[in-house]
Formats: sequence, C-alpha cells, structure tokens
Amino acid sequence: MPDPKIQLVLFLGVFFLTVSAGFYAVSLRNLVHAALFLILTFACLGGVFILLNADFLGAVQLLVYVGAVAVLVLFAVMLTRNVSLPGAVTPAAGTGLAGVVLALVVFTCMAASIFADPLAGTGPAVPVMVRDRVNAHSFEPTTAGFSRALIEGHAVAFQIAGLLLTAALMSAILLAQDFRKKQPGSPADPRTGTH
Amino acid sequence: MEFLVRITNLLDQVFVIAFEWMRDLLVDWPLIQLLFVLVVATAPILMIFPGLMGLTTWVERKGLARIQNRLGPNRVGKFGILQFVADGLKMLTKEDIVPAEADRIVHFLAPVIIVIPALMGLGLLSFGNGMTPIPVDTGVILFFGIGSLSTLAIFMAGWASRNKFSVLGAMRSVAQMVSYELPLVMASVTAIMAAGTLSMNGLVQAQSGGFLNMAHWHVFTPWGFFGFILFFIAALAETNRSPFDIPEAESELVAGHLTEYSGFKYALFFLAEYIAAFAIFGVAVTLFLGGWNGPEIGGVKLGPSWAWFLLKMYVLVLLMIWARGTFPRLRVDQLMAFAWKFMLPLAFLNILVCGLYLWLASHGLWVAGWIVALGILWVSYRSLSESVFRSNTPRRVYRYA
Repeated sequence: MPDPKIQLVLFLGVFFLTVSAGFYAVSLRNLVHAALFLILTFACLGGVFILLNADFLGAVQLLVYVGAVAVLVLFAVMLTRNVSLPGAVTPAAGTGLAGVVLALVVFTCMAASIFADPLAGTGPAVPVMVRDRVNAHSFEPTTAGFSRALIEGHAVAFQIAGLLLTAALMSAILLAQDFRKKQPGSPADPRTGTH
Repeated sequence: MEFLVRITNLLDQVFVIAFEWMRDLLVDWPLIQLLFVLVVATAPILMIFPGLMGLTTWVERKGLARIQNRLGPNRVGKFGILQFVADGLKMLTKEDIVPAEADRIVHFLAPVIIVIPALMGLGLLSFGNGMTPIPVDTGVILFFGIGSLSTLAIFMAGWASRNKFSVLGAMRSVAQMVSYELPLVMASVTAIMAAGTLSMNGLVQAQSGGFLNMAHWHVFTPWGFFGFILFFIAALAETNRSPFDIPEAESELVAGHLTEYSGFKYALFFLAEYIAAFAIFGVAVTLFLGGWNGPEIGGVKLGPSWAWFLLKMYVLVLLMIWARGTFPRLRVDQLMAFAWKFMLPLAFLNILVCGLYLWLASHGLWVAGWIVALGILWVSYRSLSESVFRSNTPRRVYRYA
C-alpha cells in the first residue's frame, strides 16, 4: 500500500481539475470550448468515482456521460446558429444570476440527501487509491455488490427507470414520425421507387 | 510427456516469471517498485503495437494488391516489407500545415487525444495467462467507456479545421460511432452473461477447459457465433473501417475529418485507427474466441497462451483487410438503417436467446437449447432481413461480372 499522502495528492489533483474544468465550462464565451470543458468535467468525475473506490460507477460514468451525453451536447451545439464563426458567443449570456440560484438549489438538495443518509460520515477519511498492484488483493471490486443491490434492494426503482427510458424512446419515435396523409396527386415517395 | 508439460508451461509463463523476479528485486524500495510495475506492465504495448501497425499497413497494401490483381509495394526491402519505414520517415519530415482560420489548440489536441483511448484500451486486454497490464474488475465496460473518447477526438478534429468537408465527415463519423456502439455493447452482453464477469481475465478463464481446451469457447454456441458476427460487423463500423469508411469517403468528402491534417498529425490518426482496431479485435477474441486459451492435448499446450491470443487477434485483422478488399462502401442512409433497424434488434434478441440457452443448458437440455436458439435466430434473421431490405425493383442479374 503506498503512502496515504500519494492518494491525497492524487485526489486533490483530480478534484482541482474537475472544479476548474467545470468553472471554464460555464465561463468561456466560445460554445464549443465550453462544451469540451464540460466533457472534461464529466471525465474527471469518472476519475473521482474511481478514486472513491467506486470502480464500476466510474466506468459507467465514462461510458454514459463521455460516450453518449457528450456527443448529444456536441450535436446540440452544432445545431445552434453561428457556432462555427470565430466571434460566436454563448446564447445564455446574461443569465448568470439565475444560474447561481439554480446551482445553489441543486447543491442544497444533494447535500441534504447525502447528510440524511445513515451511512454519512462512516466512510474512510482519505480516499482509497484505485488499485495497488504490489498488493493485488487490497482493493475490493464493487460490481457484484452494486448489481445485487439493484436487483434485490431497489428492484422497483430500477424497473421504473427502465420504463421511463422506454417511454422516452417511444415518444421520440412518435415525435419523429410523419403523420401527414399523402395526397392522391402528390409525387410518389422517391425512396420506394413506385409510380 | 511430463517434460513436455513442464517445458510448455515454462514457455507460457516466461514473461510472468521474469517480471516477478525483477519486481521482487526491488522489494526494499516500494515507490520505485510501484513505478517499475506500472512501466514494465505497460511499456511493451507502446513498443510492440506501433511496430505491428506498421507491418499491418504493409500486409494490407500487399493483400489488397493481390485481391485487385496488382503487385503492391515491392521497392523498399525484400517484397517491399520496409515500405512502412519509408512512409513513416516521409510523414515525419513533412511540413505541418494548420489552416489560418483553424482553432489552433483544438486542432493540435485532436490527434493527441485520439491516440490515448486506443492505447488505454490495449492496456485492459488480457494478453496471456497472468499477463493483463491493467487487471481491473470492470474491464469490458471500462474498455467501451474509454473507447467512446475517440468519437470526441474525431469531432474535435472536424470542428477545429474549419473546413466544410471536415465538419461533414466528423458529423457522419460521430453519428456512425454512436449508432454502432449500441449493437457492439449489446452483442458483448451475451458473453458477459455466460461468463458472469466483466473482467477480461475472468472472461477468458470462463472459456477454458473441455475437449481440446476449445469446447467452451463462446463462439461454439448458437448465440456466441451470432454475437461474434454482430460484434465483428459493429467493430468494423466503430473503427471506421471499410465497408463503413463513410466518414473519410474520398470521392465525396475528400478525407473527412483528416482533410486539414498533414505530416505527423495525420500519421497519429492513422496509428490510432489501426491500434483501435487491434484493441477491439482483442476484445472480440476475449469475449467469443476463447481469449488466450489455445488447444491443449493431455496437458501439453500447443504453443504459449500469449502467442495464441496474438494469432487470433491477427487473424481477425486479416479478416478486416479481406472485407476491405471485397465489399463496396455503404451509402450513409443504408449505414444508419442497418445499425438501427437490423443490428440492434438482432443484438437485443440475441441476449434473450442467450438467456434461454443458458437456462436450458443449466437443466442439462443442451440439445433443446441448440435447436431452440438456432430456430429463433434463423427465423428472426430471415424475417428481419426480408422486411428491412425489401426492394421494389426487380433483382438485377449480372451476366458478365
């Protein structure tokens, strides 16, 4: 097991990177740069999870946020006007106060829910390092326990989340579908090739 | 016989034994030992795979040339085998051109970032018995998580170049990679279900034993064979390889996101593409083809485990080159329809079939499992391909081709 000091330095490094990337994500005026910093924040949060000994959560954070949500954000940015011009500015400029208020509300809710947890304050004071290769068994994987908790303890919540996602997917298909009836005299659909 | 078993086991473990011996020499200096372990476990990847990539470009050019009835490179070295060295030197000495309007920092960062996920993905693979550079418990999911970074790098390259071909190519590439990531991950779920673990090493160990040490490979089950084919096709698309190389379709998009890159930055994109292909085929070998398990007769291993792993991986790379020489490029709407309407439903169905097969097999009904799984997969494959790829124009008959 290496020195706890090394772990603390590692944690502080990742922590500092996360916070500063998040700061740049909200303060930069170039929208694409801001989006890239947001993605760096997502990736660093994965690092924070791993340093907090939640390896599965860290991997999922990378897969979902860096892999899927980031691409969604980038597509949304590409669809905004004038984004590829050098002088493009964020359309949200001037809404700083509302953002601060919203951030405070979210932070209060999260802090309240964390401190309401009976397990609060019982964890290790210093985060455990990802993996110590010299003592191969000093690190316990969390995947099995995590999935067991999902299936046994929180099965209903898990299923409801799945139902919500299915509903979202179906409504997306509904929104994208073209319900207008074809007029008798209108030109044939070029894709089918019938006349 | 006893001697043969011992000598093959020694050959199998030679790198592990050397590594442990050197590690134990440094036991009095824990910090140096930790650094040594980290460097020695990962440095071979950095040394071997770029060289293997160079050789593969030669193999690819020679192979494509034979397919197209040409000779291919034959000037540098015997059979042109040193062609990649000449190409590399040429790349290094070329001028690095950055467009005047480009976003200089992002333009510079994109080729750097695209190499990172490719190399990190290789580090997670289990190359042999006891030879996993980064042995994490969540190996497969971490591999896909890190791999999704490459989508980002391609977007950065396309956007920062401020060129319409670059942006269009990057958009196509991002859409393609996001679409094919789903069937890729869903196809691998079956193997994870059967092995009951996400770690690369655990997946390989779950496939060892049985007749010739080959009987338990996942590819020898109906869902495994089907899943392997789905995984292979999705992997081709995920690495932007032909017939899915639409992002860099020369005839319509110049070179897609690569248009404004020259010199060594261009070489880095090229390197990342090949290394990502090696890594993803390594995962395919781990999930479906038994990983580093090689044939074994009476305890005598027919070759060390790491050699078997590299051999299987390279056979898949050759298959990729063969596909490039054989299939025409897809149109962009065909590509999307293929991913969402065909591959994804089949991948989901394959998960159900795998569950059914495993349930029947756990009751000892192997034969029933085979029949049921093959029946469901065949019927759904036929009906889905009939409904998705139905064409109203009569089938063309080529008489002189």
